Amino acid sequence: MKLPPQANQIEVTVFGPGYGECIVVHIADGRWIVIDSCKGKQGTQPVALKYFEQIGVNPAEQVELIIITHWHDDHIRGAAELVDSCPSAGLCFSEAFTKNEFVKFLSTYSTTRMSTHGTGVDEFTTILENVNNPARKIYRGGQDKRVLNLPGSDLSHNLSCEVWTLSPSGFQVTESEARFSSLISGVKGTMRRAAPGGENNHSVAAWIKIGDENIVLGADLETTKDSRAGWDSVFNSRNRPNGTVSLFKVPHHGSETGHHAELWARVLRKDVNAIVTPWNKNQGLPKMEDLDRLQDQTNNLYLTSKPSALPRARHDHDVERMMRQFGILTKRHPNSIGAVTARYVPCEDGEWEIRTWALN
Amino acid sequence: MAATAEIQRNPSETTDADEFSLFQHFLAVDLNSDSDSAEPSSADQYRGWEELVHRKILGVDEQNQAIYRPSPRSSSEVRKEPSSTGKLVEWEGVVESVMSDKFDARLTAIKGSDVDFDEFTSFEVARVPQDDHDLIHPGALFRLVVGYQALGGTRQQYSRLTFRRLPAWNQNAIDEAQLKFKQIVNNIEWSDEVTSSG
Repeated sequence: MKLPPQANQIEVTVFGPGYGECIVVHIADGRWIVIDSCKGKQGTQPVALKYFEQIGVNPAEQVELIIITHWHDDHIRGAAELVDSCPSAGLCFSEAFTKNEFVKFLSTYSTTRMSTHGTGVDEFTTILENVNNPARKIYRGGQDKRVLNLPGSDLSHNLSCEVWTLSPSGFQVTESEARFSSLISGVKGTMRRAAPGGENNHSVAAWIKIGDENIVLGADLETTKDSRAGWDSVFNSRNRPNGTVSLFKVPHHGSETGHHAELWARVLRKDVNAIVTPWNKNQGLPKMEDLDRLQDQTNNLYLTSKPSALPRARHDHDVERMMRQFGILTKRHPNSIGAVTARYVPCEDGEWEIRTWALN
Repeated sequence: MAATAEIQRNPSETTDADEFSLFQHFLAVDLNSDSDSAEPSSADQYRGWEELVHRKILGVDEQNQAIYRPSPRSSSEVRKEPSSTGKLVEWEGVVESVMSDKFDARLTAIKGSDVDFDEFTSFEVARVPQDDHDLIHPGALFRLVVGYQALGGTRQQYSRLTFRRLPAWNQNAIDEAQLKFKQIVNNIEWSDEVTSSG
C-alpha cells in the first residue's frame, strides 16, 4: 500500500501481525486517527509510523488523535514513540488509568526497570512523563464520551466526523480499580515486571461516525456475566451513537468472550465488513469454532494474518544445534506485518474497497 | 658453533619448599673453538657443575635415585568451576504465564546471537532448580544460558536456567514514584466534553 487515500476518502487500516494490533483511520484531507500501537522486530518503528512514512504522511502535523485502548503489551508497544512523534495529536486513554489504584499500580511497577524487556507499564509511564505539552488535548475515554468532533465544513467531503468512546463503563472502572489494587497487594519478595492478565475490563472501544457511515473498533472489550460491564453495557446504553455499522474491528481477536449476539444482530449491518486480528501465541485466537461463528454472521470477514502458530525462530547453525540438544524450541513474530485496508468514498453509491496486504 | 640456552623454571612448578628461581646458563660450548676457557678448570668443578645441572635442571637426584618432575597443581589450584570455551548464548527471559507444570516466557537474546526479534517458548517447571521454584511468577525475570564448558579437561555442552533474585520492593522508591505520577495525573487539564446523545 504505497499511495495515501484521496482527500475525500475514508480509510481504515488494521495491522495485526499475530501479536499486537494497531489501527489507523483517515477521516479526510490527510487527517488521521491512530488507535493503539504495535511493532515488528526489535528496534523498529511503531507500525503506524512505518506506514505513514510509506505513504508520505507527516505524523507531526497530520495525526489528530491517538487512542490507547489498554495497557497490555500487544496494544501499546511503541506507543510512547508514537505519541512523541505526534506532538499536535490529542491523546485519549481509559478513564480507569486516571484512578488512584492504577496510579499506585503504575508507580509500583515503574520501579522495576531492570530488564531488557519493556512492558506496557514502561510505555505508559514514559507517555505520562512526557505528557506535559500544553498544546496537547488529553481525554479520558469511558462510556459514551465524545473525544473528537469535526464539523463537515472543516472537511472536503462536507461530512461531520465524531469519535466516541463506548467503554469502560463506570462499573468497569470500579472493577478495574479493585483489580489493580489486588495486583499491588500481591507485591512482596523480589521485584517482578508487570504481567498483564485477567479480563480486559478497562479497554476502550470506539465508535467513529463520519456522516452516516459508522465504524466500530472493538479493541479487546469482552462480554462478561455482569450486564453493567463489557458489550452488554455498550449495547444497552441509551447515550451511545446510533446508526448501522458498516465496518467492525472484531473484539478480542475473534474470541467467544468478545462476541455479543445482539450487537451483531441489531447494530452491525447484515454482512458487515468485519476485520479480525489473530493472536498467534499459546492456544491462538480465533479458534476454528470462532471462525465458523464469525462466518455465520457475515460473508465479509477479513483476517490481517493467518490464524496459525507463530513461526519458528531461527538462529545460526551452532546455536540451533545447542538449542536442539537441550530441547529448547522458540518462536517469533512473523517478519511481515499483516494488514487489512478498507477505503470508501462517502456520498457515492459504492462499497468499501478492502485489501489484505503486508507491511515489510 | 656457539649454543646458549637459558632455562627459567617457574617456581610454581617446583615441589621445593623454597621459592627460588633458577636462571641457568649453560656454558657456551663452542665445538669449533680451541679455547678451553668455557670448560671447568678442574675435575671437582666439573663434577659440581654436572651435579648442579642434573639436580636443578634435569631434576635428577642420583643420591636418592629420584627424578623430579613439576608436581600437579594442588587441589586448591584446580579449577572447580567450569570455564566456558567457545560458543555461549544467553537470553534474558520474563515469565508471561504459569501453569501447574510449565510456564510460558518471552526471551531476548543478550549474548552470542545476532537475532533481532523476541522469542516465545515454554519451559517445564522441573527444569528450574528446586530452590528457585518460589520465584516462578508472571513477570519474574530469568537468564537462560546455553554453551560449552571445560571441566577437568573435557569439553561439554551445558544449559542453565536461573531466576534472577532481584532486590525486594523498595517502599521508599514506590512512594516516590507514586508522588510523582499522582502529581502528573492531577496536573493534567482534561479536555473531556459534556456528552450528549448521538
